[in-house]
Amino acid sequence: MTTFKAYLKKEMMESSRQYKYIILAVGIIAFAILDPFMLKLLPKILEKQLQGDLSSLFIATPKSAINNYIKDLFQIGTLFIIFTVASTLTDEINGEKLVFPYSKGSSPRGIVLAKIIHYTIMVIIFTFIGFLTCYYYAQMLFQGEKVSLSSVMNSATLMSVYNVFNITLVAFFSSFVNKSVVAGFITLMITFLSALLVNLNYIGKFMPYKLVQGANSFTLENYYCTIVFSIVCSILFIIFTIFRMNKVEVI
Amino acid sequence: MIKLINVNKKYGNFEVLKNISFEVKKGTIYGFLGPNGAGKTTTMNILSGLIDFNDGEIYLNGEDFKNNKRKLLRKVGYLPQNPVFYNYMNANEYLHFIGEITRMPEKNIRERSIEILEIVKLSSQATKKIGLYSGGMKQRLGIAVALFNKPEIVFLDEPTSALDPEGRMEILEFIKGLKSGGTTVFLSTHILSDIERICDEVSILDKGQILLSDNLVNLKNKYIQPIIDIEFEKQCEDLNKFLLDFKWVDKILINENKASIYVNNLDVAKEQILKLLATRENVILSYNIRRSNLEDIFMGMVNKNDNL
Repeated sequence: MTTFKAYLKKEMMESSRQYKYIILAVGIIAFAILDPFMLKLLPKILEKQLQGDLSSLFIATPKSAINNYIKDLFQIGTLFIIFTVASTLTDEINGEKLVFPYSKGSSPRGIVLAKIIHYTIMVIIFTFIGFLTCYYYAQMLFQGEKVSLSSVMNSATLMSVYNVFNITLVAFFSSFVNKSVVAGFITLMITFLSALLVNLNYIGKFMPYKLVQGANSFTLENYYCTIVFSIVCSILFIIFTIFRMNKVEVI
Repeated sequence: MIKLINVNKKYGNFEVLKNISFEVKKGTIYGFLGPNGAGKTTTMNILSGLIDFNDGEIYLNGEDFKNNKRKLLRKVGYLPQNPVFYNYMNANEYLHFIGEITRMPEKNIRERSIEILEIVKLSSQATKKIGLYSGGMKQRLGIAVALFNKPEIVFLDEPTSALDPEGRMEILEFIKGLKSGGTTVFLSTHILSDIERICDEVSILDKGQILLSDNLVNLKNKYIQPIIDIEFEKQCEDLNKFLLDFKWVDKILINENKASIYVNNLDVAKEQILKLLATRENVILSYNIRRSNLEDIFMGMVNKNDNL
């Protein structure tokens, strides 16, 4: 517990001093503001360029604005999250930064849990802020098919579970490889592979990407199996990471 | 205090430590001597819990190290050769972080930080980012971190290697002071004069094997002998044949026109050697009698091991 507390404080200090909070906030929240405005302005910009009425081609509603945000969150936000977390263990191991803490008897379990819980909390907070921001602007800027706040919160929950899965997966690879970029790319490959396999009959419902599909449909129903499976996998990744950090030679 | 029995460490097929055994007594300064690549740092890393060993037993304070590693490490301080910190922190923040890991109460952390930074002369730099520190300052901070929780045993891996002569003397005096406070110090270095200056006991390690382990006083009594260094005008390779027949000559090391003659009876040697050499046609340029030091013992041991 002492290691956990010390590392949680250290992670918070590191993230604020190395601008990781800003990077994550940009990757997750910026699109919540940009997407509704771009969707609103795009027809007007194109109208001036193409000299015609394009309003019939762009039918934007509050729902489509949020769907657009979910798409960007998956395509770009995931990149921000994965590559921010990718260095979390690999830099500490290969940079020999764990020599003093390990030689003072710090617990690898405390280190791993502090890191993962820190990023999990931050990403969940940013995800909910992002969805609330997008919901606010979508309601303000567009007419048409609306989505209730509770449905948007369902989407935020599903995307949070998806992001937590990615955090634990990249932390796991981060404890194995020498370069953070490699851990990031392996995780990214698995993420994209999961998107390809999601339509398969039997294994499709176990693919974490199913959570992104669920977020797009604004409901938790039919997705409980995927949620449970993703959470179980995340717990297993944490256990494997702790196991690895107990065995790793930090010098 | 520290006991190693047949400790073995392998990386693949390469045996870094070959069944090493030694014992360090409580409250002593133990010098661990060896050339680069001998296995000194590997031994240090094992004893500070950073890497595992393949075979053998280690006891710290009589407790099995393998089974009680985390608990025992709270009594240990370790200074690696190149200490690495979180560069975005300052010294106060890093020491606070270490204090929390070692379960020190908040008040003690604050008091100890002031005290230890004063000792290592970093008080004026306590709020400066560690990333802006020089190599010597990082070494001092490393010492502060190693000693922060007042450990019973301190492992110091080449603690003076990055320091200027003045800083080196200060650190050596400081290590001596640790001994008087009851701390056991395990010091790895290849600076032989440092070992001679402060250590009580010494082990010489080479190619993963302990060549010698003894009290420094015994070691000097056993191995230290008079040496006569002579410089000739011309090469002196044939000196071996000429002098080795005399009982008072143990061995001769020759390097071009210089010879070091190890003698076992200095009185006889002083009386006879110049008379004998005067009969030869090689002019003597200089003549000096000295006592062999730890460096001679070390070189002798390592060279002997190389020839095996």
